[in-house]
Amino acid sequence: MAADGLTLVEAVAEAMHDEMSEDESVVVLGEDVGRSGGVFRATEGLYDAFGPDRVIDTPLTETGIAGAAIGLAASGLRPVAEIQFSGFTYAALEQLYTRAARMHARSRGQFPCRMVLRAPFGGGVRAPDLHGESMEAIFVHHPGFKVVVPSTPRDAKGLLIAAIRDPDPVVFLEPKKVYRSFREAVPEGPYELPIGEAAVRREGEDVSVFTWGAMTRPTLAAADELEGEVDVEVVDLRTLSPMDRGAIVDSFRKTGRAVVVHEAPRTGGLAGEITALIQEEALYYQEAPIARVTGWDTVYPLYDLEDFQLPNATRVREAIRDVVSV
Amino acid sequence: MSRFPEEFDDCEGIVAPDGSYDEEAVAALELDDEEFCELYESMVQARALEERGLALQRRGEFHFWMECRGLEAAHVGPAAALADRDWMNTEWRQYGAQIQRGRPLVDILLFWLRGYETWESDEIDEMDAYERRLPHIVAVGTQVPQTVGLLWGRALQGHDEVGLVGVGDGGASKGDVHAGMNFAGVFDVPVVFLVLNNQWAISTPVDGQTAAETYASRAPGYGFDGVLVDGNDVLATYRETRRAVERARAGEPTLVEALTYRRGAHSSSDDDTRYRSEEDVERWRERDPIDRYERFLVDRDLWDEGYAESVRERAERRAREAAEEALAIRGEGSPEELFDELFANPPAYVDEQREELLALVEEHGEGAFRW
Repeated sequence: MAADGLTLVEAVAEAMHDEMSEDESVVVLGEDVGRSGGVFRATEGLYDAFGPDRVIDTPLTETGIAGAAIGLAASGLRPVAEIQFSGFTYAALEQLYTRAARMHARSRGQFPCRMVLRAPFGGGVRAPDLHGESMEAIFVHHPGFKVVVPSTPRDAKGLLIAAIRDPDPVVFLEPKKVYRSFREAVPEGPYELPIGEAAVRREGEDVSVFTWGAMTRPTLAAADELEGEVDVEVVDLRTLSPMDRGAIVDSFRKTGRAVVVHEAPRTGGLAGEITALIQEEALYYQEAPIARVTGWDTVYPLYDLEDFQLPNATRVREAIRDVVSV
Repeated sequence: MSRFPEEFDDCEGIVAPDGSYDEEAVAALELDDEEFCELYESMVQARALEERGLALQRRGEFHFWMECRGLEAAHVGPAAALADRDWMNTEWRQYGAQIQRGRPLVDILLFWLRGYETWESDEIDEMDAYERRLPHIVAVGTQVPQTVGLLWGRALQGHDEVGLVGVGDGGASKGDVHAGMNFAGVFDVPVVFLVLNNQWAISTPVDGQTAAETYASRAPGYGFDGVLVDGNDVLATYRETRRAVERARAGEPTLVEALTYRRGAHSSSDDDTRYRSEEDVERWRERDPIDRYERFLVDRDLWDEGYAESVRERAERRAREAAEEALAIRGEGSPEELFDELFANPPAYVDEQREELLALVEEHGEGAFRW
């Protein structure tokens, strides 16, 4: 570990490196993951360390990568497949939905689908079309997957190792906007953080803000801006399926107010799921309507308009003010 | 409009529709009499299973049946070409292939009755030949890249195993099939691709799936060989697949196209009279794979009416017994099974939803849920 810690993308690479050293059945495959080290360098160093049989540059075909990974998993290996950008996962959805997510159920446990599908996820990096998608809801909605979205380097490493060790298919979405935004001390060697546990990033009494991935940063910034005015609790869900419902309900019961922040489009997004959960489990604690700060229901825009699409600290701050003013 | 193997000069065949055959080619197969008869019995069994499945569907006991009439040689021959340690991922209608691999009939039927499949052996290395398969999934063509991944993974782990994956002419239009074949060519994966060209994808004829003369001609585009075989000639489908298996063992995939014809409807829900003529079906009935092979067996002194009768009776009895057993097992399903095996490492919400359902069933009785 570097003295000043790792970036999130370096932590991702270190997780794969450490787990591949630990378990020789782990293989990495995808477009440009080998010699190049991945377009974001998320697989940097793996090819030199483990060679072409374990770090495999594939033809350009997401359905092929996903399909081959499912077969590799059935063969007894533990594939970690990279889809270069989450928006390209659309091309792999049939494999993922019709096969990966139901392999265990349809074979009654004979063939677990022990694979991880990694993809850089979300917007905010001034990339071309289909490079800014936030697709978490479609995976959460489909039975059979686990869905993880880390927001810090330490979490990224521990959660990715847990994902590789998990016997079920895990969709691991990496917030590329914060791939290199900051460094954090990351333990050396392999370690796991449990899939299914949220992290309270900041404790507060007045309002709970639930978020994940890249949105954790502007949410914390908004909470800082409101210091002295509103006492904000920030809960980073980290895992979207299974979702830590206990952490959401506990936080809401304490504060009675909530804002949900995600960059995915609003309609059918997970903010609706979290709001419904609060209605079911904590209605009588509720002091104000729950606010959603989300991406708009648009086709994801390119460079010039991207700033208006993504929630930022200003939008989060104003939503918090609205919710606490009721 | 049907296509016939004789329209293709290089189509591989051994036994002609009239039962005449190439002696030398037959000798080169090195099959003994018992093995010749086994191919016949598997085909007859597949047809008997289909007749039973359709009869039960018409009586309302099976909700659905996929039909395979006329395709038996294209299913049985390739399966016979595999070693026990090899893998076979079929499409759902390839009953004859499953039968040839020794899969219990009840197991085949249960897929249609409850949607999932079960295995006897827990470990891959302990699996019988018929267990070396992935579960059937209804999405056509999606099995192709997975079979490639499976055999690629087995090869990386040092196993000398070959995979056979079947896809229909409709399924072959899927991008997944291209992706899988391309992967296999690039990574020298030991897989045989069997394109079962039965000429109909429900109501769309093969010339509505491809403008190419043959599917076999696609193979060079992936860097390996393709071969067109008379899909109603069980010895020819066996031989060409065996050759392909040998090449696969040496790291070279092959595409085998079996040109045949689905004489039945697509499924028990399909009315094929809406889209094709009885004349076409009749012309292929004259090329029936079982009738043709019987003529061959007669010539080899392996077949007479008595033998045929006993094979048919046994096949019908087995099909009937398997159906009875399958229907009885189906009736044993309990509501909590909905949540079984959803995950290898289930999150808590799976248990919570199971409890929610079971509490409702407890309160209102299972009858309240039947519709």
